[in-house]
Amino acid sequence: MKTTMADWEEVKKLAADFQRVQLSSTKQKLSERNVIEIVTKLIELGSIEVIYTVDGKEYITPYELRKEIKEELLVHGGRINLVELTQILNVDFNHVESKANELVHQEQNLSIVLGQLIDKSYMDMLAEEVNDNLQEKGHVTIPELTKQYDLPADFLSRNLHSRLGTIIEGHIDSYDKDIIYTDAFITRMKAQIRGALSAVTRPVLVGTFVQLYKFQERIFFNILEELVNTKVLAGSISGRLDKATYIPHIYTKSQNEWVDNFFRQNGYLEYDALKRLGITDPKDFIKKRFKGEQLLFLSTCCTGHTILDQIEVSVEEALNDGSWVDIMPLLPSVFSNKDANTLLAGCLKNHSNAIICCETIVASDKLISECSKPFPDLMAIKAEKDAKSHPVFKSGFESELNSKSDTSTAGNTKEDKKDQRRKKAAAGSGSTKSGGGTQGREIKTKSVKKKGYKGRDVEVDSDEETMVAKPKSRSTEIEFMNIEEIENIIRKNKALEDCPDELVTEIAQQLIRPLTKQYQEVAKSIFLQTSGLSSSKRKKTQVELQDKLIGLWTNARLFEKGLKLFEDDTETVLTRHLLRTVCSDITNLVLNAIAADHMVSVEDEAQLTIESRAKLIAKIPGDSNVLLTKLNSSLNGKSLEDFFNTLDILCGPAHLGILLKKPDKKKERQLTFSHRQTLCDQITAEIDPAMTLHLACVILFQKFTQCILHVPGKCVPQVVMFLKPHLEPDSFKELVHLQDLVIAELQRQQSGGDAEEKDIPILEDTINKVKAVAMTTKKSILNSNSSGADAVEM
Amino acid sequence: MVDEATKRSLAQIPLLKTKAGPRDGEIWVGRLKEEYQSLIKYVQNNKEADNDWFRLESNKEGTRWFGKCWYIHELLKYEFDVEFDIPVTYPTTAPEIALPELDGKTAKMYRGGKICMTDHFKPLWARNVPKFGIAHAMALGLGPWLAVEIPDLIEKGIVTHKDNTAGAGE
Repeated sequence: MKTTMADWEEVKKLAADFQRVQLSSTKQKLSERNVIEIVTKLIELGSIEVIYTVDGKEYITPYELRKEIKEELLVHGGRINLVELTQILNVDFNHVESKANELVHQEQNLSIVLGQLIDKSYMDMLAEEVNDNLQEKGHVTIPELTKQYDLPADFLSRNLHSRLGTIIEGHIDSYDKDIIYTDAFITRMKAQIRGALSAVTRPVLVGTFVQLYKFQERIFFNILEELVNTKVLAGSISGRLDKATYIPHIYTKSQNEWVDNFFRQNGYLEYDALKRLGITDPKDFIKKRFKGEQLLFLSTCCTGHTILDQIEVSVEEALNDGSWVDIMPLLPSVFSNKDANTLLAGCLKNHSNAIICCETIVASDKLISECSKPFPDLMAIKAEKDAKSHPVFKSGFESELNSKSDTSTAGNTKEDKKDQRRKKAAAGSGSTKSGGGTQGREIKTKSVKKKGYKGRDVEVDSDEETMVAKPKSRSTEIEFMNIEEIENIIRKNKALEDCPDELVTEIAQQLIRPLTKQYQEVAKSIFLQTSGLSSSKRKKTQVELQDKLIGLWTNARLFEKGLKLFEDDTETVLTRHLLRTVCSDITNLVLNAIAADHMVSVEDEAQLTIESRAKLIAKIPGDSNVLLTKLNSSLNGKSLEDFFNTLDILCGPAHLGILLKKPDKKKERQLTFSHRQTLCDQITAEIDPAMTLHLACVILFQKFTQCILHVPGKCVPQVVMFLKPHLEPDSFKELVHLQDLVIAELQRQQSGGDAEEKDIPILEDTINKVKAVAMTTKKSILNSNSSGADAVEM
Repeated sequence: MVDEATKRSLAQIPLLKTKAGPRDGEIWVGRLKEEYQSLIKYVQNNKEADNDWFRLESNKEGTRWFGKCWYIHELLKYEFDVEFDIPVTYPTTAPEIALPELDGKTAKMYRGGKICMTDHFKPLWARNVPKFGIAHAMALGLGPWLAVEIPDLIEKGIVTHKDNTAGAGE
């Protein structure tokens, strides 16, 4: 019971306690929520201004923030990063920044740089530090400080410059505001530079110098300039900044001395040598250095007059001696061939009688002519040999000769059957022989020959191109000797005994062209000589041409007279024949002459057909062209008049200037007589029946009509008919008989049968009879009709 | 579930040890002592946190409790009488706290003004027998109920401030 009571007491006590607790006043405490609410309300109402801390646990008034910022700045020695401030003050960066800006605006001694708040006192301290550094090292640069203090250059320099002379004892480089230095430093550097550069004896690159001594580049250049300008340093600077070179006067002096000495001693200056001495532009240098001197600038060096004189003398000597000189040994070894050549070209301006070989060798014209001396003899020998053996000559010259020389005799050196034929044909054209027939055949044989010739070439060369090219080139140019041959001969010359091979080759090359030309001349003249024409005669082409032309023309005129005795048909045939033969020859002659005047080459005079002539005429300019065309086309016509008229104009003074004089009676008679004489000579020697008949007819015709006749083989029967009334029947019968035999013979030849044995004696007999008829009739006619002729002959 | 604040304040209330009802004589006294100690602590806590919200006292035997509770809404203090009996089966059965003034004014109430506990209350209490006491019932039952129901009732105009109704009378 006791315990229960006690318990109850206890309960009572507790209840009282409980009441007491419940009644005790509640602590007057604002909950966080409330406070926040209150403050927010206050801020809303604008009655207070606070800044929240970052964690939101604290409010801070702007003034407090300002105070704290200043305190922190002080604590941090006058420089503090705003970000750092933010962390320290636990306030948002924006507030700190704006407050800091406000501070900077309000207080002069503060500034914000790179997000750092910096006090003036800090800058003073920094300046002091810099000054210490400066005094120690002699110079400081803003970039260095920038790195060291992590501040922008312009801010640093602005602040430092304002403290120059107060806190910092030093100067700013007037060119480079970034460098601050002390007087002592400058003096020291000046002394260093002076010492170093005074010791220099050859050009040095200033840049390496600066690196070597670790000079402040900018100041170095200033000092250097100053030193050079005030002549403390004997030298000069060339180039700019890094590339600048300091050239001490002593070096320039010794360089100049060397150049002078070298030039004085040797008479030349090599550019390379000058370059080795460090002269960058030798030519300029030399020009400046030796203004007064007459210098010759070559590709590798430049020479004074000493060497020039020397060379001139030796060249002159060589020229006077008629020998040669290689100037290379006379020149210093540095001279290149090109230089030597240039030198020589200069020297030889005054000497026309010399040539330069192999760039450096001078040979006198005398030497060359000396060298060419042995050639004419050789040439003559070779030409003669070639004229006989070389086929090119024939095709090259002979045709030309043939047409030109209607008087040429058959007794020349060429034993060629073809040539003989040709000759005969040419003679025939002038001597009323069977020219037409033979000529036609001739062309054929010739072409066959040519083919054969070509074929031979193919066999030899088996090369199509050369086959075509060879005959052509040979016909235009005949080689005399090749270079090696000429060289061999030249080398025999005593003057050239120890000369280099090149010179010989060069001389040979010089000679080969004129020699070839000369040789061609010689060969031609020799050929002409061998063909019975003197080379001197050839040169008088005009006279010769005139003679030939007049001869042919006269013949043509005479033939014309003879053919008029025939009836129309025969006359036409004969006229045409005359145009084809003699008149063609005349045309060729005229064309050749005019072509030669116009420097147009005629390939082969005798081979000209109407077409080839037309082609040739096209190449000739002027009105000759028209006339020649006309003349050429008149050959195709039937009228001799056209031809003669055109020919007259062409031969007039405007063109060829040849006077076609009509022969007087006496001359005419003389010609006729000589013509007949030739014919008679021919007939006596003739054995061919057809030819005999032909000749006999012509002779007889002349006897009866006093006119000479030019007749083609096919017209012989008409002539025979014409002769009938004039001849004694027996004689006529003989003629007819021979004619029949000839026809039979021809027919047999055509059908391919062999000549019958028994016919030969008959044929021979008839030939002899016809010959006799021709000759005897001549006598009788001569006797009865010769009064005029005799008179003429007397 | 109970809200955070409730949970926190609940945790700070000392737990009880004695399992005894009013009929258990000697042991009930022990229990009652514990009840008082726990209540004292709870009130102290509330005062500390500026969250004092009720006054309670009991009869001599500690079987019937009565007092006041209040709720502050929009800066106005609404005060209500509170009363309850300790059931015979206590502490197995939780006390039924009643607000007689509000009887019939809200659906969250049984006859006689007994408040409806949340669904969580009963299982939670059952789990914590005999550790929970009157203080726990107040913190876990009445506290949340007031916080939910009173603003609602005020809004509906069912409960009005005394000053507005009989302001001059006081």
